[in-house]
Amino acid sequence: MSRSKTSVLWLLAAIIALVAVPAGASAKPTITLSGSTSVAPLATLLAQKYVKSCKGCVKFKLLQGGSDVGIADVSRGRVTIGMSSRDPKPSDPGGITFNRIAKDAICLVTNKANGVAGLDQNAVQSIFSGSVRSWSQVPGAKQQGTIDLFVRTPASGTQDAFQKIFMGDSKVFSGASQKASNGLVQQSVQRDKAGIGYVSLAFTKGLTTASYKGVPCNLRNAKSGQYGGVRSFYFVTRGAAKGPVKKWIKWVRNNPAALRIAAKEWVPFK
Amino acid sequence: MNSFRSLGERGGRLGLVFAAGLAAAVFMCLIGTAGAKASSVSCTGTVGVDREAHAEGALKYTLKCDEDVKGYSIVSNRDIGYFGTEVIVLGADGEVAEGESFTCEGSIPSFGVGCFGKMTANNTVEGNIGTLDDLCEANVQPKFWATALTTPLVKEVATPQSSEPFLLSSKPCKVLNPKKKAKAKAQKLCAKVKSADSKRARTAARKRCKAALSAVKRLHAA
Repeated sequence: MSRSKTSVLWLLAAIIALVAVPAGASAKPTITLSGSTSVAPLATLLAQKYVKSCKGCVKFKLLQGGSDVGIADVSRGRVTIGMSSRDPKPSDPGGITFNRIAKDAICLVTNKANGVAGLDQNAVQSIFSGSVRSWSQVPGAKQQGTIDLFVRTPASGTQDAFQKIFMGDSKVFSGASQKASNGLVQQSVQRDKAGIGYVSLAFTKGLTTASYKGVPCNLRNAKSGQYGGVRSFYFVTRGAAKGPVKKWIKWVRNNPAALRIAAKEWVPFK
Repeated sequence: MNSFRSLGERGGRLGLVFAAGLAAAVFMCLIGTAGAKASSVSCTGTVGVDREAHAEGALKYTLKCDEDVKGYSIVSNRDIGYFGTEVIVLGADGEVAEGESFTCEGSIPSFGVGCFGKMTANNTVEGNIGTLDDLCEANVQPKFWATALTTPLVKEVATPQSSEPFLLSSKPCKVLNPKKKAKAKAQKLCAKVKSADSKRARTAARKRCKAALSAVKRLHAA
């Protein structure tokens, strides 16, 4: 074989090796997740424990965007799991399966300086629909002046669950400030003495949580079922879960270590 | 030159394609380098153990930059097994900065995490990250770097610019590989039980072996 042919072959071999090495390295299955900002904190903790306990059998790629984004992504095959913090809706795309993994409490939150102790459903509906606009009309409020409402964007599962559980047929005030994540609502209410909003229980640090229908929003009441503002967390799959995803969901629902993680700030599956 | 000629003339079309591809790649790289502009932002930060966080091996990091920041990455020489998905920004007064926060996304395990959002110059972002294995269970000291994304106006156009990596300050591990070292020590001491030539020496060796084994247990439990 001539020297030139040999060098071309070597070049080809080098290119093949360059292409083949990354392919070999990615042989480990990757579970991609996108969606709910409420589910994401739980998903990262579960992913960490699972990777450790199965000795790196899978790799996770975690994105966010809100429940609607996760559901759209999984139905189009962009991710393997869509994270949702709301129940299925008739308008959801077909062929997807909602696998419940845990439950979570939605807490009504006010600034520490205001500290509203409790609200009933009528008060929640009046405040968030905008028919009550002043804190002076809210019993127990230490704050005066206009109520600043902080709600979630329409793509949010928390928004959907809040509408369903707390608002019923009343619509959320169109003048409310819409936030894209739990963290942003938490932060806005923390900064605004006249603010009120609702967040996942895991995001209540630095805020006053108001009782709902006389029951405080805490983990104990959420677990016992006494607190009314509880919704489900789902891992949404395209069809029934298969292979590594099925294994992962089974682990999340049944493994004692996974249940212990979920029990820290959420209501575990079992 | 000889090899180029041989590729072009005797190696046929394939050689020419490779040569042209290589030249194009080098040319593109040169264009890219000439067009890119380094960010002028300077950042400082810290990493330390966070005992309040729920995640295993949780660490708290802070990052402060002298320009407005739209995103950042935290990179480490350890496997990252956890990251906080929503990160707050604190103002100079130590209070939460209104409308400033970051959303973090990435892979588990990985060597870091990427976050997008916004932070005004001289505010501080405070977030969590967690290593997959024990922080000190490695042959080299743990290191964490942060890279910031800024969007300064270049000829009236907001132009994304990525900074150099800034090393975050952290306390070094007192002992590297403590579990591995304790295990090796226990093995060495326990091996002496069998080789002891008197009853007294055997009893003493057994005592040392037991102590070393319980030290290993203690480290694993921690």
